[in-house]
Amino acid sequence: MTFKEREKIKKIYDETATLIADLALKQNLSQDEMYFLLNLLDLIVIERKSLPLTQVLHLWLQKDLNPALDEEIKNLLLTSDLKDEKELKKTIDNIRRLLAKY
Amino acid sequence: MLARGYEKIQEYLYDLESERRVLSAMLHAEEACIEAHSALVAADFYSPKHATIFELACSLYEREIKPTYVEILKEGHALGILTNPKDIEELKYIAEHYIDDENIKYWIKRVKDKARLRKFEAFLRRSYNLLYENPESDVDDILLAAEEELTNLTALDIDDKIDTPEDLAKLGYEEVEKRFLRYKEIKELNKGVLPLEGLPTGFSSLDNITLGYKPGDLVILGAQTGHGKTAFALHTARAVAVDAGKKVLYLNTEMSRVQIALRWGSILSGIEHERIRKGDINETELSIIFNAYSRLRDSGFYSYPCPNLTPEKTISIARKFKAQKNIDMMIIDYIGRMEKYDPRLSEWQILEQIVKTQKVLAQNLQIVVMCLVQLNPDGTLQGAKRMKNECDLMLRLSPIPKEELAENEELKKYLNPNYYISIEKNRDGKSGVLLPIQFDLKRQIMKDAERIQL
Repeated sequence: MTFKEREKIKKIYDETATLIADLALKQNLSQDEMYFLLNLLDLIVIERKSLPLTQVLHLWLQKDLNPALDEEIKNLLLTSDLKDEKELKKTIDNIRRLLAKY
Repeated sequence: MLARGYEKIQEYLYDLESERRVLSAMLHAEEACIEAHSALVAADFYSPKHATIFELACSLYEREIKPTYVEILKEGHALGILTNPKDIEELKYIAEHYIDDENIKYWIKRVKDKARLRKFEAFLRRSYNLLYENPESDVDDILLAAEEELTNLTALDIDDKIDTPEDLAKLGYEEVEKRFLRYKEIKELNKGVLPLEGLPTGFSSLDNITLGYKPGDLVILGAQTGHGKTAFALHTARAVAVDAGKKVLYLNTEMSRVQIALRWGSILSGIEHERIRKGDINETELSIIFNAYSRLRDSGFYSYPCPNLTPEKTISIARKFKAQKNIDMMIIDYIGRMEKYDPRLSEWQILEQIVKTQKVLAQNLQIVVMCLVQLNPDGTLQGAKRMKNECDLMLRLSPIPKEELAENEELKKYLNPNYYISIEKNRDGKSGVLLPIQFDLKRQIMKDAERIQL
């Protein structure tokens, strides 16, 4: 990765983290939503081991699901510990299963 | 006039840029966390926001969480601290303006110096107010108090404390009284066995003489190659980390993780190391070894195999483990294999430098540092005199010559002694003592040589 690319990623990381924190301060995000999004950001930018999760998130966004199912997937994500690899894998599998139904 | 001068001085009392540099480095590099955590306190920051961010970063770091921008945001939010958009803006500014210039020590010094300057300015202001409010006070009293305060400020470390005669006399009496009462208790209750003042050495005979390895002690153990340096180190680690449940950091410059792990299997199970290495064991022994590793799992032993160890690196690692694991002891196995400070220095000069660094480290962190050194084939040690000056306890491990075993009447009172621990220096007590021990090379186990009951 070039210096410029690293700088760009860092800028996106800083801006995104600030945006998430700001939204939480303005109460547009709940505490659980904020924690999940910040953890996801760290997982992608700092830990760099999030490919299966981002794939399933993309898949989810592409689907037009009913609100109840959306809520179910969201709850699965918010209650999952992203740092626990086993738990994360289980969550991803569960989301895939739910998405496969539609 | 005075007010204008005061305003001007205020500008010199802080350096927000340096504070941001330190915090930004902490958010991006572990090395910066180690340095800043050990050198600064929150009160060194002029900006209350910076002090808060510093405290958050340190608190995360102590819990082994990388203090990234995101983690600081989460922690601040959880504690209800970063609740203002301006706080987040400041934190973002700090996170964004990281420059990897490897100058963290310089920025830390700037922050520290400004903090000292503020203390000096406060001192001047207090003195001025004192004169203004009490013009008739005794001049000698005022000057004496001012001098004491100024002396504390000019000392390199702000936390340095100068003992007055009263302090020292009080401390001395309390220590003697404590020992007197303890000795009385031992005689009455414990049948003469002295309780330790420090960490157990793993040998009753050595415990009796040293009363254990004490915080701030530098212990040097010398042995020839192949004569039990690592076995001694792991024996000490067993006594401290497994049996006493204290925390030990073991730095090994020679052995791999696997080699160290296998050694523990032998030490804790009592099964020959060679057989464990080959896998030449039966089902029952496998079960014994499993139980042995359970004890290791529950212990306070942290291992850090590090072939390219430098004195600088030992400082960083020790500070990190002190902050995160609160270690009581660090063992360096061994210092002869450490990378050189300066290739132009001779061997003994390098060893002296390393040993000096380790002594300061032991005192600053209030841990025991044990350094293993290799003796020459003739049993001498390069730079031994200078090393001896620096350390608190110098031990030598050597096999007992066969002739001595056959002729020495004193040794015949012991059951199968084969090695000596020789106390070459003991700052707190007796030295020049030879302690016979049993070293089971096959099992890598050491113990006191038992006296034969007559």
